[in-house]
Amino acid sequence: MPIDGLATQLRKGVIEYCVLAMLKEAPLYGGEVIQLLRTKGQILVSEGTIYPLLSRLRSEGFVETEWRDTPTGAPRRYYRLSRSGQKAVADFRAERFRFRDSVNEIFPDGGRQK
Amino acid sequence: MTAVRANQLVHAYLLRLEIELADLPAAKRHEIVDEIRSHIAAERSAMVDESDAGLMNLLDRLGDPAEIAAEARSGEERRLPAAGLRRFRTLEVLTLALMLLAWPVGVVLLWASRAWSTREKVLGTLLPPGGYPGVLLVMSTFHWFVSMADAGPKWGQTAVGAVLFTVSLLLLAAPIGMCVYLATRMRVPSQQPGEVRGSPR
Repeated sequence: MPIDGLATQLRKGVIEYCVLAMLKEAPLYGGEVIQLLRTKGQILVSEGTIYPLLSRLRSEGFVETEWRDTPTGAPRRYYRLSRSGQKAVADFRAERFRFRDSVNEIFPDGGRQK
Repeated sequence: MTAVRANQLVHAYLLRLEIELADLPAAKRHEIVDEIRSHIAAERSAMVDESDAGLMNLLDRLGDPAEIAAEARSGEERRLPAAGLRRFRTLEVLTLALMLLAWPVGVVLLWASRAWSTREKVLGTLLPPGGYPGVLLVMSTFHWFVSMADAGPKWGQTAVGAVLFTVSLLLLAAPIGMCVYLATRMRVPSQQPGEVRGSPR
C-alpha cells in the first residue's frame, strides 16, 4: 500500500522549483505556467493552486511581476525570475543531483520495478 | 448551457474561494481571486463551444477552493515567524516604557513575557520598585530627613545633604539603567522565514 499522500509530499518540495525553472526560460503568465505543467505529467493536480504559489514566490522575492496588455482581453500579470530566483534554481539544480544520487544508492535499480 | 447558468457556476466557485480565503490578508486574497477569475475568463474565451461539462471540467481542473486556500495558507504560515518577531519586539518595548511610567502595568507585562529569565524579572521588579513614580515617592520622604537634619548640628546637615544627593542620583538613574539592562538581555526568536520548511533558499 502506498504511503498516504506520497505523491503530494514528493510534489510539494519540488513544484515551486519547477515553476522557477520554467520562468528562467521566459516570463510567463499564470495560465501559461499551468499549460506547461499540464504537459509534464502528474506534477500539478489542482491547477488553481499555482496562483497562491506564484503569489508566495512573489512575496518571497523569487519572482517579479509586470502587467502586459493582451490584444484581446484584459491585461495579464506576467511573472519573471528575479536574481534570488535565479540563485534558487541554480541551488536546486545542484542539490537535485546529490539527492538523486543518494536515492539511487538506496534503490540500486533506479527505483523502477522490474 | 445558457450564459446565465455558466456565470452562476463561475460566480459560485469564486464565492466559495473567497470564503475559503477569508482568513488571509485582504491584499493576498484579492490577488489570488483576481488571478483565478481572469484565468477562468481566459479559458472560457478559448473554448470553441462552451458547454456545461466543459466549464465544469475547467473548474475541476482548477481544484477545490479549499485546496487552493490550503496552499495559500501554507505560504502565509511560512511568513508567520517574521510577523511574530515584529509583534514580539513591539510588546517588549512597550513593557520597558511602562516599567518607567506606569510601573504596575509594566511589571505585569514583564512577568508575562517570555523574553526574560526569572532572575532578570526579579531584578527588573525590585531595582527599583515603582519606576519613576516610586522614585519620586521615595525622594519626597527625603524632605522629612532634611527637615530633621536642619534641627541638628551643621556637620550633620552637610553629611545628610551629601548622602541624600548621592542616593537621589542613583535613584534617578536606576530605572533607566534597569531598562537598558533588560533591553540588552531581551531574547527574541531567532527563527527566520527562510529557515522554515521547504521554501526555496
